[in-house]
Amino acid sequence: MQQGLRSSIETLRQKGELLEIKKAVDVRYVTPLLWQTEKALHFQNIKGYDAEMVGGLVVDRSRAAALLGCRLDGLAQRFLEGVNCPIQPVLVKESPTLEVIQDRSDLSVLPIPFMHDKDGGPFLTSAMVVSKDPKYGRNVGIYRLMYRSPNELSVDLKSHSDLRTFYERALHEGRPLPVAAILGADYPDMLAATYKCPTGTDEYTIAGGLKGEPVPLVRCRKVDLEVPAYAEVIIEGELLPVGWTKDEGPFGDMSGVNGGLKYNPIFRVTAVSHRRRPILHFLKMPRENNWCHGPAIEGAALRALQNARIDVAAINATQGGMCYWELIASIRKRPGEGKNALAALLSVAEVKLAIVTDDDIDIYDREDVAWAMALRVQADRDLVVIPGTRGKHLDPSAQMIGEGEAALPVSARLGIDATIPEGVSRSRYERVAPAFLSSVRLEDYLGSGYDRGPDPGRGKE
Amino acid sequence: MSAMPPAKGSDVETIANRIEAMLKQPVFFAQIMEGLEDCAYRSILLAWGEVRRRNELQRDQQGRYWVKAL
Repeated sequence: MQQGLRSSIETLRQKGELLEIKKAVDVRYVTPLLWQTEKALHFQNIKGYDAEMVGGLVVDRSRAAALLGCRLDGLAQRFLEGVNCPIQPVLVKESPTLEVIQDRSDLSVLPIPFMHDKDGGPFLTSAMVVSKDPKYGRNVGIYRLMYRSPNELSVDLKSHSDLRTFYERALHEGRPLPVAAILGADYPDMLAATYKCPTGTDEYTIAGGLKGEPVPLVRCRKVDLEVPAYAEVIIEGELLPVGWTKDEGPFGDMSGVNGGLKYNPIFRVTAVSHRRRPILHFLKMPRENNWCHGPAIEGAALRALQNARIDVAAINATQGGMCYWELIASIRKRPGEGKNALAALLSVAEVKLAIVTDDDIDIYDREDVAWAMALRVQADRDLVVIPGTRGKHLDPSAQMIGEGEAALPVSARLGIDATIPEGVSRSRYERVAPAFLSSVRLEDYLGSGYDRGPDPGRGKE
Repeated sequence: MSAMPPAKGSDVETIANRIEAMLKQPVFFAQIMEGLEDCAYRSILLAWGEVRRRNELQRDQQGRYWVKAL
């Protein structure tokens, strides 16, 4: 039986990347404690709750690679292999998620954390929300959910998403949209849920592909939906056909800013079930949120470049760009392909800035990328701007277009071709190296007390 | 049946009243939490639901809450 979140916790524990806290901790202190360490924290004794909490699981590329079992520069390829080999989920009857079935729906039994000083309330940050549409079928995505009352959450549907599409179709017909929130998925599940696949693709099949085995699903009790059998908590309910009318946020979101007050739909809760002692996963914002989609964005970029028949060396959805808005790719270029690569990269999700370099550039080193941009780019021929494209509302500079609170974000996209220009010899970029470097050692001249120190590593991400 | 410990109803009512007193002027949710440091976290969540049930909460663009005076 797959263990979901618990398998991610165990992997990090074995690698020494997770600290266990057995001392009793109040829910309001879990976030400030998490911000004081780069390690993941597993709170095993939450005051007043028969539950545990974990946060900070995936905060950088090395953790993502550890949980996916691949090299640091292999996330895109690893993710795409899962996308290319989808595995249908299987229905099962037994599930630890059904160990405790509430006789009334009361979200307060869950330690939903109030996280940041300007947040509008406690938030569930790692919830995968599953829904179905008569035309498109099943969809799974990750959405923040704000606690409003024991049987009410609000969901942020300000940007384009399949869930928003499903909700708009239900709203048009004046009916509620049945949904279920899943807490306690594992890392491949979350990556699959963030992947921008064609509407109508079942993300459970991608999660299965990533894991190499089918996701076991169990039926919900009150809505016609299926959820992973290994989940920690299942919250069933419906998005009410009220539109963008209820106050939601602010929240310290994936962009690393406080966001603002929004008006969004309501998620009315009709059933809650959970493991006997559930572990609630809360994200260390913004970085853990970023790495819940980073490999999926890199995988989407790799697919777009392959479709454009580009020979790809490496891809980096940068941490500084929240693993979302900025992509850097190094390629083995043939004439003209710097721009082809930009066209492909700028088609991915809501990417705003794409940079293409040759394969001699270390795209995980900001200094090396800046060097390429300084010496290989001419602004009059190497910049591509696409105005008025789909954006993300969590970008404060995006323009909201449309009616009132249901308006959608629009952004411009910038591409920078930082490959060696056509007609310029690669030899013009030969790097300086000292003569006789391998013949002498500084230690031999300064004595045995000299400490060379760690390699500064320049601007490595 | 939930395995979680129940919160006492009277506690919730009392905390809801304290929150309503704070909401006479615009406050961030963090200020409400700071004002209730002596209360159990779960009781605050329940009380917050009770406050929402009793009132139509007002918000400003910064996200502060308050209750309109009758």
